[in-house]
Amino acid sequence: MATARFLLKRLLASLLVLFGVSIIAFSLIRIAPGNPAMLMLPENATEEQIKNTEAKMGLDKPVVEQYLSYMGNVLQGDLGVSIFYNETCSNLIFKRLPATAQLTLIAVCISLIISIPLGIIAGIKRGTGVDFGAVLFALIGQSMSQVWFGLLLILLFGVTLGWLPTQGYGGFKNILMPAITLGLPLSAIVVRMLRSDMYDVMQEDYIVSTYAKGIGQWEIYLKYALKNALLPVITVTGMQIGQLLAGAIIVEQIFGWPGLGTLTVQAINMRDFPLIQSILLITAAIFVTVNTLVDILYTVIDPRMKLN
Amino acid sequence: MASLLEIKDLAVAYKTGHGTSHAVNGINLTINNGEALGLVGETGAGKTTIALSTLNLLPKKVGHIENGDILFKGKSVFQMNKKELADMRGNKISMIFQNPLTSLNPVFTIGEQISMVLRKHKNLSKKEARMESEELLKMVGIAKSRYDDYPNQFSGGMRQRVGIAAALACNPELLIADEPTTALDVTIQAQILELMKKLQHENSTSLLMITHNLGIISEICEKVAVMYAGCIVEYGTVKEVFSNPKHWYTKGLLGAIPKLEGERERLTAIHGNVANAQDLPSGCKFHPRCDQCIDTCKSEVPSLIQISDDHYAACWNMEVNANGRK
Amino acid sequence: MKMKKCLALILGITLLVSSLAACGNTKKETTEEPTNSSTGTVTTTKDGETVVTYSLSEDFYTWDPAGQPSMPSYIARILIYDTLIESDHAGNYTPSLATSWSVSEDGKDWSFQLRDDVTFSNGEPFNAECVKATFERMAKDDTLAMHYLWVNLDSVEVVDDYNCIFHFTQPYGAFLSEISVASILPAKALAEQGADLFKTNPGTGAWKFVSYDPGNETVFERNDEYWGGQKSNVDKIVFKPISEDTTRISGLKTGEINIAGDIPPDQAMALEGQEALVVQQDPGLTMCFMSLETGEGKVFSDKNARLALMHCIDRELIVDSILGSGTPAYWPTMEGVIGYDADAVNSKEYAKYDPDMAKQLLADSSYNGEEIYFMAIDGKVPRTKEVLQAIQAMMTAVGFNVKLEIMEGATFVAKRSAGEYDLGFSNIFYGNGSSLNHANMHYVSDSAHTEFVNEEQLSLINEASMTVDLDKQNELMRQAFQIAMQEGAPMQYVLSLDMFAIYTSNIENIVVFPDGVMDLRNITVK
Repeated sequence: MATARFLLKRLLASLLVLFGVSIIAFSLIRIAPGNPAMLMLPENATEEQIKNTEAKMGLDKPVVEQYLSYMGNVLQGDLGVSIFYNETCSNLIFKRLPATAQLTLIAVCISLIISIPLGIIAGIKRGTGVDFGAVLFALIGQSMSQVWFGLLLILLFGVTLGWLPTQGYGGFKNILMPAITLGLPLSAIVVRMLRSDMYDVMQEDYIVSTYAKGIGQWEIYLKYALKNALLPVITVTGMQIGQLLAGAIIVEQIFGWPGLGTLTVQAINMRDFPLIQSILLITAAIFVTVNTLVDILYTVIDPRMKLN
Repeated sequence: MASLLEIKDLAVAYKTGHGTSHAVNGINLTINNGEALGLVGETGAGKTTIALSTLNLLPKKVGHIENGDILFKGKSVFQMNKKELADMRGNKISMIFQNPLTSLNPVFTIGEQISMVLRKHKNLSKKEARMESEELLKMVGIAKSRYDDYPNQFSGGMRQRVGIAAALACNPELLIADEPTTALDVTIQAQILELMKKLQHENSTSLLMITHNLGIISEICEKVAVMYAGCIVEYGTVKEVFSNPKHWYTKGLLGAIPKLEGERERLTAIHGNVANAQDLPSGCKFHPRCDQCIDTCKSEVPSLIQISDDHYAACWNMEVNANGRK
Repeated sequence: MKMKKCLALILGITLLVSSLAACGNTKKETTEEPTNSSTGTVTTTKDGETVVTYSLSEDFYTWDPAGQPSMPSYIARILIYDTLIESDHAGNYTPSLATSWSVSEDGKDWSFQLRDDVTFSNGEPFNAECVKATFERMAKDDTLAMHYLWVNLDSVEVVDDYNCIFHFTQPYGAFLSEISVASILPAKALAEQGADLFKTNPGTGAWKFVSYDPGNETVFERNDEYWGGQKSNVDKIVFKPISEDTTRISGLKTGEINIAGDIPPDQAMALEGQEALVVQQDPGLTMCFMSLETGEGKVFSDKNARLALMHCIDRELIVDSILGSGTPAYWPTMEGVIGYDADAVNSKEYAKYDPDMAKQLLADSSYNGEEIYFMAIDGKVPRTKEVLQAIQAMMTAVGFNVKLEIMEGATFVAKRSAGEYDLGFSNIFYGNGSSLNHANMHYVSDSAHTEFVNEEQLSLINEASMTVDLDKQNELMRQAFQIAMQEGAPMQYVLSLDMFAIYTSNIENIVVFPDGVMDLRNITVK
């Protein structure tokens, strides 16, 4: 019951957020200089030509009217038609979304697979070589630019060693480098957090009392301490989803990954208003959904949290 | 009576980046089967260190056994391998912790935290462990329907009952209670003590009761050891020590308790602060705070002197005033 | 509690399954697991097909040949479509879909005889109706980017199936140049499908359009029924947009990419000498220029200020020290482009670097240290920032007060067309070696909003635009450009860029034109 009420509340709040996003997206791209009609036409297009093209794009009406009709359509599930691709925005977005979703999910998986064990070991083996390595990894991961890191990977694994394809969409080999690049900052944050959380948790009374119960060391690390130490990691991972979606724009460009990121860049370059609006709206919806999921997950793991 | 636990010349130091703290400085204690020993002293006297040492649970790299040994049934806990330790902890010796608010894992149900002991030591299945845990909960006065609740859904007293239930789960031979009631309010304290007393009698478990509360000692224990700055300054039966205290520190402690009967007296307080374990005074550790301090006190460490059959004290100057009151 | 757990579990599983499903799908779709990735090999698919991959920095925006062109679409059009005549991109024309052509005395009517043995890939026969539909569409629909080229086209008369006549309201000087890049569309399909035609793109060309996956890849397939005779031994050409230069180059090195364009000069030159790669460097037809807003109250309304700008820039230094490639521009066009003046270039008569003279000119002008807003599109010249900062520094050295701002194209165009600038840096390429387009767009239509008007210059350009005789056209344009150099307006020219194309050394029979366009029709693999 509480869950149902929570979800309902969350849904309403999300709609409000999306409404806000729609207004911001709509007005921002119109405030920014640049006119899609002018970009579509040659430089010497006449005023009349521009006006006709604007009319064809529906940009001749007052902005408020444009917004209302756009939102009207959105509420009916119609995101409009892209100016440049001459295809519905929903088609374009949902064609690209799987690639980005795949990249983001695999990035999260890879970065957690790497960072959780590393963070745990660094936390319980403070001051050892592993710990030093983990701290170094976290430092590099958080400070290195993704562009630079991605290019280094390409040069090493793609060109020098020839193990992985340098770019393009496809199977596991293709996704490996972009996913690692995209997940790098997340890995770094998780290693850093888990290291200190694990260390702190191991000092807690309840861990000493668990030892006093005769429970073995590794069972304590992996069961009784980890569950506590993972809580902040879940929150951070949830919040990092936004970062990941933003990072995907860069990483997709580097690796020629045909996701939402490359589409976004093109849409912005060409001032494809309907497409930009729709991408922002869909991305915001994803972000809000993921955060709700994280909140639910959080209450499952941490009984102290209540959905509200 | 055979001795269950023997603490011999135990000295423990904590070494941190800031210096070395001498928490325990040469202690001898024996607990016999079925015996209840009280360990009193101010905060920082080294009581908890003794408890943790007994379970070989001193914080790694920080806590160091400088000297001495602890024998459980004749075997040194410091020589035990991992398996022997795990077998001892929670099974033969279990411990109730000072703060029930922090000693339960917040993200596991209380049921899980009791049944993990049972599953570990009695090799019970999940189901069997649950049934037995529910019995234990009932025993400490918690409805078994609360098995799946989390610690945050309980009050402090209830949580300490959970701690007791977990500690008694395997019928330990020795129960160490480290200030089990300090964090609780007075009425709850009484309940918990009643409970412990009852359970100790029923199971004939030996008890090491660590507290700074002399009332609790007189209620539960047969023998008492008074600690100051990592040393035992007085030891004996509760009756002897409390009625005829010999060490000035014990006298001070007793003087700080209000009496319900008899003539009203001004409560005396021991002046000064607890000795700094990083920089202990020479001679008798209590001498800077002692009104009866003589020159010998400042330079030489007193050893325990037998006063009667079951009464020992370590003081250079205990004959001066046998009544102990000015 | 139970409910929450269930919910979370279901959500988690859904996410995982969907991501796995996505992975599974892609694996099935990937037919091109490279069989080897050693340098310089052509990717072969499981079916034994030979596939060549080419890559540029940008993707297709529109598939409509009458839409705003971009480099990928130029290349694709050559593959999919044919034109009436072909150009060697240096002013020489040869038959293609048209077997012969002639122009009337007054230069207004062009007659074409067409091939009778050509069909589109959708089965529609090629005939004069297709020519009519293709050109009249551009002439009539002013929302098409290419409309401006055909405003003077009155009609295309269908004489019979294989003969047609273009009727213009006035002579059209750039006509041959423009029809040599105008793809012929199928008339019936265009009428029936409208813009949807550009989802299937049926053409008469040597290659057939197969699929377009935006952002990922576009596939072309060899047309074995090509009327001109198929000369390629490659089964498929795959186009991949990769915006990151380094990635594109890495792909070349590993052989995942066979042909790459849009390579920055410094990176291209670093690849020279690699055995497995061919680095082709030619003087290109891309000219970097600055438009000057000369309207009332603007700094550059003063001719002396404009000439000071002309003489203060050390073009050679920029080319030699910053770019390491390219050619300094002492004239609006380069050799081989209409209106070129070799003497003026050799003597550096108009744009010689002379800071003292520039200082003097500036002193003689009405310039009083007002801030000059210098804006530029990022990426129009390699090392944009360094080049522009050098220009800024050179201007500052003679006494200009310059504020430089580098921005993306859309913002630039919006600001420039509103005249909110003093100096705007951009580039143009002289497609087919014709400068008429540039002159018409930037001088006559003043799309850069320079507000510069020189009647003599405009009438020279107008005359050239209507002159069909290329020699005459050349002389008229030379005169028009001479005025531009003397006036320092409305444009000043900085440098022309070299054109780089890089491909693996097993690729043969591709043509790279000086404008950077590649003709891959006859591509073969060793």
